Amino acid sequence: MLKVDNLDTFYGELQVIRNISLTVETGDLVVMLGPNGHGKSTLLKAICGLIKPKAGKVEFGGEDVHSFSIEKIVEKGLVYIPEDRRLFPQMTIKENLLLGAYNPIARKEREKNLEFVYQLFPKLKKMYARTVATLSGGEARMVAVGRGLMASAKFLAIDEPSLGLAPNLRTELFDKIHQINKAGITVLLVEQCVTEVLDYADRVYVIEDGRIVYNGNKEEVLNDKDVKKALLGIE
Amino acid sequence: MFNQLISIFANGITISSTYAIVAIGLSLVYGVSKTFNYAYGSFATVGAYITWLLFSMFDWMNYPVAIMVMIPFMFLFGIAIEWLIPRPLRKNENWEITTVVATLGLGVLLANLVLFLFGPYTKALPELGGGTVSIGHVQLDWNRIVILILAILIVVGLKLFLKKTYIGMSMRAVAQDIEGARVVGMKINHIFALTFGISTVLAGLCGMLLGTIYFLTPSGGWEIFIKAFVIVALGGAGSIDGALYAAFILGITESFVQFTLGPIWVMPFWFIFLMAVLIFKPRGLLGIR
Repeated sequence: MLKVDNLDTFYGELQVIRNISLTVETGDLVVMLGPNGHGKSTLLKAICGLIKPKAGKVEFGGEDVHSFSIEKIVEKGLVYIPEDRRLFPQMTIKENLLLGAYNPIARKEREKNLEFVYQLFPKLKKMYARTVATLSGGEARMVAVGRGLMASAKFLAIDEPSLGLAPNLRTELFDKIHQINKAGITVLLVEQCVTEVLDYADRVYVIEDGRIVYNGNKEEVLNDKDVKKALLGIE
Repeated sequence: MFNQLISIFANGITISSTYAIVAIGLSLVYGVSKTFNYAYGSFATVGAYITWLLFSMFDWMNYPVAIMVMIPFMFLFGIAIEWLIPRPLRKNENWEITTVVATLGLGVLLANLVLFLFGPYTKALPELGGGTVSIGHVQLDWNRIVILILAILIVVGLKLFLKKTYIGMSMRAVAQDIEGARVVGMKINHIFALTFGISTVLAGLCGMLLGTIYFLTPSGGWEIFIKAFVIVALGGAGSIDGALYAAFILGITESFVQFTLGPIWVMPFWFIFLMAVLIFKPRGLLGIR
């Protein structure tokens, strides 16, 4: 579904992404691990067309992502959920969710998608009239993921959803993301070294200093003692 | 004495309501696209002269028809200007400064175009309603009452549009977080153009309403612009409610100052008011961030 080919990305003179290639199959939940400041977010933004790469190619459903405008990319179902959420603070939860369905395809499926989001996060349904600026970090995360789903996403690229969340909320959120994946939406998740997310992952990439230094499926990661210890700090 | 106070107050309210329309338009564009349109006063002049032209061309012309012609005309005019000036400039660095210079230049150009086409002599628009109405011992012009009613309709209509319609919601969304709007897949350029068009309509309507009270001159828009600018700064740039409150505070102040001290003291008083508020609230009354 998604294919990244020899991607190079710069911020000014600084090379952030160094010749990265990866693939995500339809229906998979892929996790990209790596320490802070090693290019994970940049890679995700480049994949979603928000940053133009210097070299290389991103293909989504066989089409070159960077030949389209961001509106068009979202319409095709490739949706980015930023780490800093970027919600509309002075509007209600429901308004934020409805605005997620901006593209013409999503607008037709608005009711259905809203139903799905409310079913996934019953709390949002209860609090639909609350202004987003008054929400806690965990609640705002839910709105951000919900708003992404409202775009009729086929592929969600989620940037560090667990950032700043308490461990129990983190587990809950990963569980929700797993449910989203089970509903047929492909997910690419960027995280720092978080062990609990591994339970749900079909494939794991590890990125360091702008390069992919490891890639394998869940069993491979868990069975490879060295990798497990080095990357995750667990025995 | 009491009756006099009432009529000064009533005049202040009508003037305020027209100021509210322009100031809201100026603030709306700033809020959504962070562009400050220095040609805005000249847009009001264009609106007023278009109305004058309609009345001088057709004997049967009336205000409902004039408004119906003016709204689409000003809207398309605004969209065209947005496409010609801020849009290409926004692609470059320092667009904040270049749009200031470019819109300032456009303002001068439009004022001189009006001078060239219509000549330097002042013109007057017919009143919206003739005669006066007496409430108790207070006499009010029908013209001003109609202005107030129209202004209320315009402001309420705009607020409902922003609050209730999907496109109005999208405009607020862009104003609140443009990155978020991009991520959601909004067509930011369309929303900028639409906002610019709507604000141009507001300028035109304000020019028309003020033209029923004051004479039209080609450079008259600059005074409207400076007033709108002060109102927006006082209310908080980007805030619609702020502009609304500030318009009434300053409009009523204007009416009282004009009566007690004379018209030349209006701007000094506005300035004092503005300074007093900005010292304590640097972002204006309801300024965001």
